[in-house]
Amino acid sequence: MSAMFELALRAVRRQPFRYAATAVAIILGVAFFTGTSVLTRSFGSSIDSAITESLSGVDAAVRSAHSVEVAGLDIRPPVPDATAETVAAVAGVADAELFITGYAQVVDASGKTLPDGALSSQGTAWIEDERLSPLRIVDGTPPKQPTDVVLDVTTFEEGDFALGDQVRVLPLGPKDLFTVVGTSRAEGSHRLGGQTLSFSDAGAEKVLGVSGALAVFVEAEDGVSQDELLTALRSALPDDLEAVSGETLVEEYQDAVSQDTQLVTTALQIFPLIALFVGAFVIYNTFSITVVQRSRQMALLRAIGANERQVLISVLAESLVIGIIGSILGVLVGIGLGLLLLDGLDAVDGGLGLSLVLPWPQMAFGLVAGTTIAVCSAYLPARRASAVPPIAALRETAVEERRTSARRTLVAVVVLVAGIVAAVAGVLDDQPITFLLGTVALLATVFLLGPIAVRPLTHVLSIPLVARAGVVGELARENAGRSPRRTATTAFSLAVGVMLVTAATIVAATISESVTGQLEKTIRADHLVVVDAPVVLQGGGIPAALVEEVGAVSGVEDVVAMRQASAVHDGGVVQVTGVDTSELAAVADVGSVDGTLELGPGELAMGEDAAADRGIEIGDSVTIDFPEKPTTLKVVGTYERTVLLGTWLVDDDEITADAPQTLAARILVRSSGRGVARAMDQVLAGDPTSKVQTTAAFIDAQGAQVNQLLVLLYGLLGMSVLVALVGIINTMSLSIFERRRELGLLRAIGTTRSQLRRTIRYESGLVAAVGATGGILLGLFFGYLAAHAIDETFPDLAVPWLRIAVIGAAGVLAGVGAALLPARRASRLDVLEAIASGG
Amino acid sequence: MAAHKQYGSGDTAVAALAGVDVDFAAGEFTSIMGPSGSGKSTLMQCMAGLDTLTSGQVLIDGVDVSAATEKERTILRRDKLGFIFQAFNLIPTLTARENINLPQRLAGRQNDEAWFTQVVDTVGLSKRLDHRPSELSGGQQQRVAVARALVSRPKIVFADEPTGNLDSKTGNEILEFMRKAVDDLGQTIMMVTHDPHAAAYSHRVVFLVDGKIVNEMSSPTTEAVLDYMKGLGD
Repeated sequence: MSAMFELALRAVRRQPFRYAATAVAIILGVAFFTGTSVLTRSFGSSIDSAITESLSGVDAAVRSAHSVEVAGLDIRPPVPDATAETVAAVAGVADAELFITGYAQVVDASGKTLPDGALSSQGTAWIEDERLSPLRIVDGTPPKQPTDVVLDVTTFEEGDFALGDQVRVLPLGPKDLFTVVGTSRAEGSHRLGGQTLSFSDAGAEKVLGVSGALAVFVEAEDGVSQDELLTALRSALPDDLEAVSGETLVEEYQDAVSQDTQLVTTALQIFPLIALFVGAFVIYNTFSITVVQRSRQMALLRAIGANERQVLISVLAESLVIGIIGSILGVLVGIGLGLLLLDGLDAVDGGLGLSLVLPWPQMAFGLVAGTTIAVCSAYLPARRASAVPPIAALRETAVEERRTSARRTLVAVVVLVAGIVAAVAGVLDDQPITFLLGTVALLATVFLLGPIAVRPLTHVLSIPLVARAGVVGELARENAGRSPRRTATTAFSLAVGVMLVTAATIVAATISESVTGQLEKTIRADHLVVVDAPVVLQGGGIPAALVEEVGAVSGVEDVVAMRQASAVHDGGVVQVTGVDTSELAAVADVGSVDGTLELGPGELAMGEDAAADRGIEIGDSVTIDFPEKPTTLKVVGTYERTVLLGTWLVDDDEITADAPQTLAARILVRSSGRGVARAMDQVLAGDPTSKVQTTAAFIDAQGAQVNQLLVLLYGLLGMSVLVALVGIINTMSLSIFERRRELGLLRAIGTTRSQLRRTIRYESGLVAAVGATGGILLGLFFGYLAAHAIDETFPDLAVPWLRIAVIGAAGVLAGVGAALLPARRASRLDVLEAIASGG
Repeated sequence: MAAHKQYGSGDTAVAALAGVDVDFAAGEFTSIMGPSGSGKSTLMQCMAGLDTLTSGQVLIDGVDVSAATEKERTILRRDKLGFIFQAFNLIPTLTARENINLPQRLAGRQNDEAWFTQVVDTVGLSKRLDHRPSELSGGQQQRVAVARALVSRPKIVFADEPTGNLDSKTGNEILEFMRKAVDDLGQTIMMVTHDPHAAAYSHRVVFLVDGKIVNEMSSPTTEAVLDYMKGLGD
């Protein structure tokens, strides 16, 4: 055993490059996995401690009992201002303060918002009581006058403000100016989440609207426990209010944050796991090749008395060494990567004061996963190595190929067809398990059948190459086809990445096409006023007064503002859109309508597909739970096109009744005459978060959003492609090592160095082309299926052939590029040595 | 001018070729013989542009091989020289026909069908042209190698122990083809061998010892070569 391990170590030490390339596959996957964990863990724990610190003095909170959960956070109606006095009167309460917060952000001297304002910005009413306030004054004084504002230190520095500055605050217009009287920081952190503006009670009321109190924070008298306090509060409160302990409040906030970070973590970690999966094939292939190349050595070991088990273990030991080294390096690189990302995030967020927290469980998982994948991938090749008979030591050369039996092929074809059927059926019947099983069967059989397809595929794919490059192309084609198994595995690892990229491209194009196509049909308005998306997410938008000003611009004929509120229906979050439905037809054509879209109070219209999907018909009543209160609405109409307005439509007055704080996210404008856009621009000049767009520009921007996401996805999938390219480099290097006599012969009989280099680059390009073709075919299949799965919302299936062709071409070029170094090395082989070797 | 080939320099220098001056007449089959380490293979490799001389000149058809660049030597090998090695002469992925035509096609030249047929007929391969090397016997593989060496009408064919891996009957066939190529087709061949029997197929034998030519023999017979070699104390 130990002798075998010694042998493995020697092997690794003797061929460091070969093993380095194998380890890269592990390092990349483990590093990214660890990196994302470091980032999310550090981020999460910084926020956790910030929450704990800032709420440390709060013994209890009183808030509305009704809540609606949106994205992990309970959204509640505000508590009445008088609650503070009610609570303060309860026995055992030392102090009770309204905790008022809402959307607000500061405008700098140049009239722009700060870049980090997009992240999360809030305005809050200053709490005098130090124990209850999450904020502390750093410089200056707390806000006292209605026009006083205190900025968090980070915002203060980034915006280059000075005490005494007159500043504008959104969502208020340009006429309301505030004086910067001080700077603040949060307990345990530089600030709360993002930009934090503090006002006096009167100022907060003006900025944040009528009543923005999320809760009443309560401080207990000395000697009163949190439990005693809670009991006292509960008995004193009306039914629509509830009391929770400070501890519970902290836990709730932390849970909400961890749900968010968990979501991001999972989304990010899928990609390194895919890369590790691809890496498994690279390792499998490398070991398969090296085991064949060393079969004489294996046979010699057997001949001098090693048993099969010992040979098996010697190969597995090699993979174990590589797996451990690769995983450790991967974890270390991952921590470095995490630090880099943290630095980047800290620079963007400026002032969360993120510190490195090592995610031990994930690091351990990375180590185990990387090592296990290395050893498992090497198992089959190791089995093959141990099966080499001792007599092979005396044979001239060992040949790798074993033919796949006809029966096995038949079984594989049957499983392949079954897999395709199951995958399709799974999507049609909405059965994710069936789909998943089908997909696994499909991919497994594609892998098994790959070697059979390699020769015909290389022949077809090499037609243009041979036509252009002649005999050099033929040599490349024959080389690419000579070890079908090796070529198939190498190509398959590339195909996985190409498949995902292709499918993502089809889905993105389908969404983009559906969105832009439907918007083109829907929008009758010639201009739109749009608000930056992050502002809308934080509850910002265009105040009603500004909407009216836009409507008053000369040349403007119709103005319809869209207001969107999150609510819950049947356990799921829905976006309810409110518009002036009597004016809607002037600016939008929602296609065919059943019933009516002229909505009155208590009435609702729905997208026809969404309604049918939920089994809702005209005349039905549905309950929608707004954060303020639940409302029952009667469905009076359904409509066809939902991309602009969404699937839940009510009248403007209804939204005002149900969610009074909602500001307009978009304004649709129909106008005549010239200069209207410029006039509107002037009206909006005071609001840097909104802008006027022509309808065409708006539609383009909507389509472009999908493409931005696609680019991000390309980047993340790039990891898998990178691992596959490492695999191609490795396979080519090993093949060249194996063929050096042949290469020497080619040089001897007059092949120039450049011809030899081209032969190898073309071969690699062909292997990549096989992978790209397979990947594109699989990607088309899964892309179609995915597009079908979302066709209710995005009905216009679009296959961007040109882009897919570019993806294929990029794959081939990357394959050619991967062979640059191996080709160079091959062309520099010493001819004499190459001919003489082994002869 | 005397050819020198030396490995290393100064005191540790080893002279593989210590002043060889030899001509190979066109249309002649010449063998180079000598004991192991006599420099016979080095001589061939330097002449064929596979290796370079330390000093001296190699002229082939008036072209100074020793002064040529790596690329020029490659083109020269492709266009003007033919090669037959002891083993591993063929590209395993190509058929016999493709192997034979390979140098021509690397040069981007059309092959002369009539000449191709004549060469293939001479070596008796016409029926095995579409087979790959793995489907051919050792003798057949060497015949393909001979055909490849001849088909581009090279100025000279270099053969390095072409029968070293074959049984004597098959070896004799190959040697006969080579002799026929010289007699009937006017080919020039230089063969390196240590086998007196093989050398007997050539017109002339040149004996090399310690990098120097020590003798030569015209119209050699196996016995005469054997006798002379014994005298060399091999």
